[in-house]
Amino acid sequence: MTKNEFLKQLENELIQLSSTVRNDILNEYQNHINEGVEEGKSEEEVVAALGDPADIAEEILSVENVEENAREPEYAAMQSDLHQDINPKDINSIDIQGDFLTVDIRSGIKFEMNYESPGEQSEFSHGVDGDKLIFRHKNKNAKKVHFNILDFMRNKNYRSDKLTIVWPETLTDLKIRTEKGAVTLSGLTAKTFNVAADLGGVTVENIVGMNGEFTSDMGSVTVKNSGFDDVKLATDMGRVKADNIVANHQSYSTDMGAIDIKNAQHDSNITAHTDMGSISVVYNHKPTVTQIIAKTKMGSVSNQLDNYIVDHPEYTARFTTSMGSVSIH
Amino acid sequence: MNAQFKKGSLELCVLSFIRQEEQYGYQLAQNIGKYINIADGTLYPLLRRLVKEGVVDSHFKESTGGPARKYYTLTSEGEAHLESIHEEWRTYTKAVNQLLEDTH
Repeated sequence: MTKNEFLKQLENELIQLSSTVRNDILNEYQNHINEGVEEGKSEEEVVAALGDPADIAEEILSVENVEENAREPEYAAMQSDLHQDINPKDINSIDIQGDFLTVDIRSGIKFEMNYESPGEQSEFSHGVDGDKLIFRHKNKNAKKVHFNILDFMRNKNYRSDKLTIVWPETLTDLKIRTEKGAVTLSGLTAKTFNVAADLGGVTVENIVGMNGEFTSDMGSVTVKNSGFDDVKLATDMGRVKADNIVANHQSYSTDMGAIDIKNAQHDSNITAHTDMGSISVVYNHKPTVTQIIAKTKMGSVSNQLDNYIVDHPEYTARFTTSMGSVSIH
Repeated sequence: MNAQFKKGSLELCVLSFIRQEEQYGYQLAQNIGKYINIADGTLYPLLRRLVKEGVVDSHFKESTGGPARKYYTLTSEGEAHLESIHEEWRTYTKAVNQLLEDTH
């Protein structure tokens, strides 16, 4: 039997396992055969010494099934060896695209990466292209299943898969796109953050970067204790919350939802706009060289920064809403 | 030799080699093959089970010229487990040897 025949048969016998587990196992056998050939043995000889693929598959299935029954049933497939060939020092960019994927990336001393899939309904792959680490996650049923947001929240079959990364290095680019699933970032440093969650919130803490763009279609966007040159928080339907952001240019927008800015930087260019919703701004220190503009078409404006007049403003902070009130403290 | 008997003792052999030095799959198969004749392919399901049981850990390490190898090491739990099955083995084989001698 040749290597390919052996691997093909084993693969067929293991078809009931998730692709991540199956590939992990097939890799072991492939490496084993390659090692033997490397040593000067013939392919046939090494394959013959492995034994009958059907017998091997039976053994594997008994091990895997025992394990899957014993574990919490919702989280079956999980791979802990994802990072086998990744050295964070060689990586400058991370690019993640997911269908049903929750993404959690935080800084830490030791590189870790975990992928959990509740229903094995997805195909997940990753790879390194030059200095770029790429993740692709596709839901097998995405085209078949039409759901609304309530189905999504109620039905645990739709529970998203989860990618967790502990990252020890700084990055040039971090790009994340998810269709359904929240994104959480903590403690990272990158030149550019580009995060978009269609149906799911974005929560960011202790981030340092040049450009930060955090957007969601239907979910809230929250950024805390972070610094940038330029930062943009935007959502179509949901709340925008900023707390202790330091940035020269700050842009906050939502079509339907409130904007809540706490510990606002006293002098910086800020633009905040919501079509339907209120804006609340709390300055820790009174601005000194910033012109403040607050406007609403239907609602009230309250500015509690008393006697604040700037002769030669260097910055502009503009808070506007079409339907809602603006309050500045 | 009886397949069941061999299978039962294989765990002991595998863990003993791993305790001596971390092993990658092919190396482990070669090492054990020097002593007993096994189907190399049965090592991997066994290793997967041992990893799941927390007896053995695996990690990837660069190899010269080839792809990274998956190495297996013994956990501290594994050390204790090996100690206890080794003791079982000694007691059992001693008893069987005694029996064979007495009935000879």
